[in-house]
Amino acid sequence: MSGSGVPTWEDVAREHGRFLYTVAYRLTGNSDDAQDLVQEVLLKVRRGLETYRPGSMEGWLSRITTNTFLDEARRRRRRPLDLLPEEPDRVLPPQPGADIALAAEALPDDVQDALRQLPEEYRAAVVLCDVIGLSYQEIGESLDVPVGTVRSRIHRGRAVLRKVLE
Amino acid sequence: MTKRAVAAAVLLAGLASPLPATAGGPEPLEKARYAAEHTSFEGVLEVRWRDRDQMRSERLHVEAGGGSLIVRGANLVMARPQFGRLLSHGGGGWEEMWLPSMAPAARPDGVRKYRTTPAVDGPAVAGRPTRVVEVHRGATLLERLYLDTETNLLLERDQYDPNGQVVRQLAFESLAIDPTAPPPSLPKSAAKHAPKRVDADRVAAPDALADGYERIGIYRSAEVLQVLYSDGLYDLSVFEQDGRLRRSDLPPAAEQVAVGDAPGWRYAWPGGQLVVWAAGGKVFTAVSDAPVDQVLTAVRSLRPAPSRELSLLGKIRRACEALMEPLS
Amino acid sequence: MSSFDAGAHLGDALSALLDDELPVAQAAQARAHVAECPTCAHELAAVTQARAWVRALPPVEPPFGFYARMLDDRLPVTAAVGPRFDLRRRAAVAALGAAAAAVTVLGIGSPAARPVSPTVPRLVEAHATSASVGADLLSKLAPMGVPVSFGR
Repeated sequence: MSGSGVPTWEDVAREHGRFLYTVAYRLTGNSDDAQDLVQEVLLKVRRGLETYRPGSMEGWLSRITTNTFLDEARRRRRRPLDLLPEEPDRVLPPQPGADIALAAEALPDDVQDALRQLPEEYRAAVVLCDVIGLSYQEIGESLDVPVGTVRSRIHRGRAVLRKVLE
Repeated sequence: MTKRAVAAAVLLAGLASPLPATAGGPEPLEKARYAAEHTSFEGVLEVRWRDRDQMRSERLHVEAGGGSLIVRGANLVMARPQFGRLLSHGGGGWEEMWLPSMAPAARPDGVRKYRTTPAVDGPAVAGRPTRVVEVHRGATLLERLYLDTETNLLLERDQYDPNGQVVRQLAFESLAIDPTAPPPSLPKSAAKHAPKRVDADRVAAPDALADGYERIGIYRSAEVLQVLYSDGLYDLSVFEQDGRLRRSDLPPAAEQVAVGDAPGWRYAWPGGQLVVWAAGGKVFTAVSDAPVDQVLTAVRSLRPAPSRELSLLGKIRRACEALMEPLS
Repeated sequence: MSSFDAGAHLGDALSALLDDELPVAQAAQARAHVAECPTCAHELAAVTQARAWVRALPPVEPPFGFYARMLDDRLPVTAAVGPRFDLRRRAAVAALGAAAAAVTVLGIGSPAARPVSPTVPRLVEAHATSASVGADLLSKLAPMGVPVSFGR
């Protein structure tokens, strides 16, 4: 750690590499893209460390990782923002009285495959919320969208996951 | 006598009772094993190991009591009574790595392969008098063990290469025996990470490898199969997983070695050696605390079983995989 | 003032309720609604399950050598060549091969196309824990206190 209290990018890489890789893998869904994403993030970290203010390092890294991921996803897409098909108020058909057993097991690979099926903006919102644990406010700041949008993306994303993992 | 010395003497008296059935290692290590499980102590341990051309070292804090032992470094490792093992990376959540129900079979008797010299008085380690034992194989000195005269705790263990240079070393820098210290507290919860034991008749793994390594356990977690071997003193695991090895993924190795027809890469870790190689559509990783030459001899004796007629399912599977073989 | 029309369903407010992101008064109203509305109760259970599954995802171990490459930026991080593997097809083959995999053989196998990177630190940990059983704890276990890494 450098004397001034600001970490060097090597400190960041060593201490947070595993966390960064996990987030990158959950976002991209495969090892090669995850490695590329982490390397890109670390490049940004090197440049950004001068402006870094001590606070939540993981939050800062999560934000850079997600935005880098989304920038790349948008760049690859030829059409604009990918939305889940509009549905009226309900996302699932009503089943009065039906119980869903919460003890249902899902293998990590299956959950990862299901995540991969979400459009990137929805996937990012779910990952920031349920993998990293950020608040809606923090997610809104990270993605630069209003909290209402965060809420809707998380909800829709989860509903699709549930359906896919039936 | 100081209070501490009295307390230690009381402990010793307890230790003088007959040892439980041994697990096959040389007797001094057996005494050390017993001592570690029955003594309350705290100390700083230095681990040194040779990685390529330099010696690396790390300091660890060790605390033991009530049958539990905890090692604190960048990782935390805890051994609980009745063989449970817990691990925490960097102080994060705990993972349960081992369950008491999975104890491997008894180890072979190392006496056939290794010769230990009678204990003689040795130098002070961590300021404490020691008795020294040497472990030989034939004419070659492999290790020196420095045991605490009072408690039989292992204070230092040095492993040498054939030239007599230290390859690995564990040594206490400071140690305090304190029977009144409370045992280390156990974490409240741990994520389950223990493998499952596999029946020997479902796996065609060799009963033994060259040089006296006998199979003592088979375990599986997710896509990895682990076969554990031991010669009584050292242990060797062979891990197998389906797939092909990408050389570009491998970090700089200590040594490139040949394992049969396949190229392999050897690496050093603080507890010994490991070798990675691929053969027959599988990737193998051997991990051991044995000296390099023994590890290589053992893994080279792992011959692929003679090819058998594939079942119909096997042929379909092979055909599908051949269809999807990416261009490389 | 109630934000919720008695007849309307809660929609994404359900996730907000689940994540404790609703102000106290709204949360109470939402809970009251869920108690009386099977549709919303069903939907809440669904998103609760999905959240539980994602939260249960374990950390992912990077491929062997990743840290070394990250810190030594002269080396390329990935060497991916050729077409990316289609994961759906791989999943189908895995399902087909599952029955054949009931008996595992050490040293034999059909040529597997999938590149795999042994998660060496995990394997070392698995070995050290299993080898420490019935053996001297200090020798077998203490080295695990040092994270396994192969650096510059």
